[in-house]
Amino acid sequence: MNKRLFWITCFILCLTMTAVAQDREMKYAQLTGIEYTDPGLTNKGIYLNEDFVPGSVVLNSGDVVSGLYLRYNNLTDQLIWLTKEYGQVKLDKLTVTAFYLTLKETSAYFRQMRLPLGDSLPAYYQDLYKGKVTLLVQRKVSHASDYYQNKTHYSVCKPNPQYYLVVGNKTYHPSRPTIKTIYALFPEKKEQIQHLVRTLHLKDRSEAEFTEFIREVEESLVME
Amino acid sequence: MKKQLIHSIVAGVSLIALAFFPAKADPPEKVQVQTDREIYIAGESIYYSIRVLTSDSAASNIGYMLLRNTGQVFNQLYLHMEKGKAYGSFTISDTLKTGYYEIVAFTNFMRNGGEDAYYRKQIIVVNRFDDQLDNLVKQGSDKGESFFVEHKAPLMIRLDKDSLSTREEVRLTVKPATSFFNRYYPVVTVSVKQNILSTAGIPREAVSHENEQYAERSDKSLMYPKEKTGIYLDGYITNGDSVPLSNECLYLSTPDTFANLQYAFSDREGRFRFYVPGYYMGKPLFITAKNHKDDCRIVPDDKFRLRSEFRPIPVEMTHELRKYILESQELVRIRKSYQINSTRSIPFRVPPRIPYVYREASAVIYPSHFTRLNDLKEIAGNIVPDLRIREMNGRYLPFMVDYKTRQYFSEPAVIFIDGVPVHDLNPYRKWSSDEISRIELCKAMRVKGEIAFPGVVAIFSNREKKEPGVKQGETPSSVPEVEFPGALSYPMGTFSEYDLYDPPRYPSKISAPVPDFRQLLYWNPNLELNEGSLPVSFYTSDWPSDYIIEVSGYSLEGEPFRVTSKLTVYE
Repeated sequence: MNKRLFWITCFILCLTMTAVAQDREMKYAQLTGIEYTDPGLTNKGIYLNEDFVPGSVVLNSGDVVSGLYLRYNNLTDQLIWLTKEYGQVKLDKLTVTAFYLTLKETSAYFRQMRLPLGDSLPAYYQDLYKGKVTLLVQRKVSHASDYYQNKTHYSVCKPNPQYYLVVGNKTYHPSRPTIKTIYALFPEKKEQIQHLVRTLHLKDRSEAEFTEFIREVEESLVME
Repeated sequence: MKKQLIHSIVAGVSLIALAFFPAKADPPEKVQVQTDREIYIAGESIYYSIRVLTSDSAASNIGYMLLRNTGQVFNQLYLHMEKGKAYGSFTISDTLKTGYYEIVAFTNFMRNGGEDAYYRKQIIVVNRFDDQLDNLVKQGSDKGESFFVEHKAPLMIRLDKDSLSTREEVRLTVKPATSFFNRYYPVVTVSVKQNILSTAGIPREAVSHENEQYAERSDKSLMYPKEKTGIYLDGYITNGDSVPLSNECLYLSTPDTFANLQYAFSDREGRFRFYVPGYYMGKPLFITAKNHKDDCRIVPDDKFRLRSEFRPIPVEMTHELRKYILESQELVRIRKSYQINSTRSIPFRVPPRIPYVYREASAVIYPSHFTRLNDLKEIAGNIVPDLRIREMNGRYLPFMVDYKTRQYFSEPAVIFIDGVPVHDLNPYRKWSSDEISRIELCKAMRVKGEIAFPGVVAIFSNREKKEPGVKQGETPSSVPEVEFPGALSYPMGTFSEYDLYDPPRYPSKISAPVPDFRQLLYWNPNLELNEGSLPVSFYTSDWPSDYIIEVSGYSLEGEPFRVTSKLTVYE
């Protein structure tokens, strides 16, 4: 009985999706890219999200195209779109200035920018926090190991996120997302920040805690 | 279990209902237009303001206006509106004959209600050299339509002086009552023009009648959607026997220095709809059917071709009216000889939303960097890697190597010539290195929205292109030299600029040598009233006469109002 219920529900949902599909024709027309072959079969850990997730893209025209299934390739800094007709498509980076991914029921926002640090190239950075200061992360990966299985070579990558803190018109690159690193970057404000850390019991054991820490101390960072 | 099954089915059916029937239907729209005057001499400019009235905050942002007589359309304007409002001017051709003309204005969404819902206003245009004015007497039918009765509004016009000399500053204030803002839009139009005593009989706007039943397509969507960010270009495609072709893919593009393309699919009835972004405005467009059936017929919709007739209402040619017209002809002749222009344009930029096919090519080849080669096949074979041109069924088609597999694609690549897709390289076979500026290749399956191309070959010519110098509000009349066989040419007009009436000011009272015989002293279509008095100032011209000051606008229900006052200019 459950099986029959399941198939009927699926059928009805498919009918619904077909009904709304005709309206999407116009809005997808601005998306351009090339057919993409997934190297993820032999390259592990290169995607931020292994499964395609719902998301939307912001184009350089300012238009937002939503209702897409997207995956972000950390290794090549490219956004992949899962299409009905042509499988996976690597979207043109020049066209996509920002995108949203629904990760663990929250919306992660990535935007393409060039940070004023050395000879950095335009890349996608995720906004972790945007208030009086901005905390960004570039979801890089680095090669971790190789192995062979049934004579097939597999390469494994591990996350190597790079954090950036934008305070006013200056950009800082903490080597690690820890409170101590912030002390080192802002030695003149160490006492103030320490006081806040003790008072508010701020921690830096995870990215979420570090983001919370930045949110709480941003006033101190911004103050002259 | 049965209950669960029933609940699932009910939920599913509700979802379908939501998909097919939108939660809220768009309310109807209405357009109102104000012009500076009702009688013009050919060669003058008509200043207008247009507003879309709707109970919905999301009004159309694109409007259309045309000027026609009983036989022909003379001016076609594409209007880009902000928050449902636009203003500007257009010039009446010097060569127009004396007669009754009609200004018609509408939005694409209003087309659902039929042409009876359009805004229409009759004006008189007099040729500068016609002193007989016979056309104004002979034309016209007695079966004209009734016209609006304008209401008053709780608003006062106060003048510092109501009798002034020439080139003297006029100071007036417009003071609305507190109750004004409960019933009327706060933005009004103020005009000061020569008063024609016998204009009481000159008709103003015609009453519009809206169909309650909006036209629908076969899928129950409205025939004509609201245009917010760009224009929709509709049309239909049939085969040689006039049978509609369904699910045909059509392309829209324009010659340019990069490959550009919009696509659309025809529905069951052969109807297609392109979204035309700002980039395409003012450019010659080409529409092609992807599958290039030689006997297919593409017919684009012409919004400016109206089915309804214009039936002018004749005006009694009184002595005062004749005198006014003859004087005006003389004044316009003088203004033309001094080339006096009182219009100031405010440029605006519509987001272009360029429909690229690709942003970066895999390879770019410049034939001028190599020895001169005689034709396209030689060029492809010698200096363009990974490309072969083969003859198939009388057509010359390019085949590209897929960069992933290093094999040729089984289907031919899409060809762009000067940015426009074509089906066959045959017409361009004889192009030598001298005629080709560059060749760009995309060596992958390139996807654009819901279509894909097994490679892209874009050839850009060196041929001098005749850029049609498109003026505001006009459509391009010439096409580039490179031809695109099989493509339908469609000249697209451009958006009219926001024009302001910019009359001269005489703060120093020193007479300028140029005579100032303006009959329109002031025109401001965008005056925003507030709770207090709003000052307005301008200068009189050298033309002594009685002038009428008009403050006009609309109630929240769309009813026009007009409040007037008078001033006299003496010599």
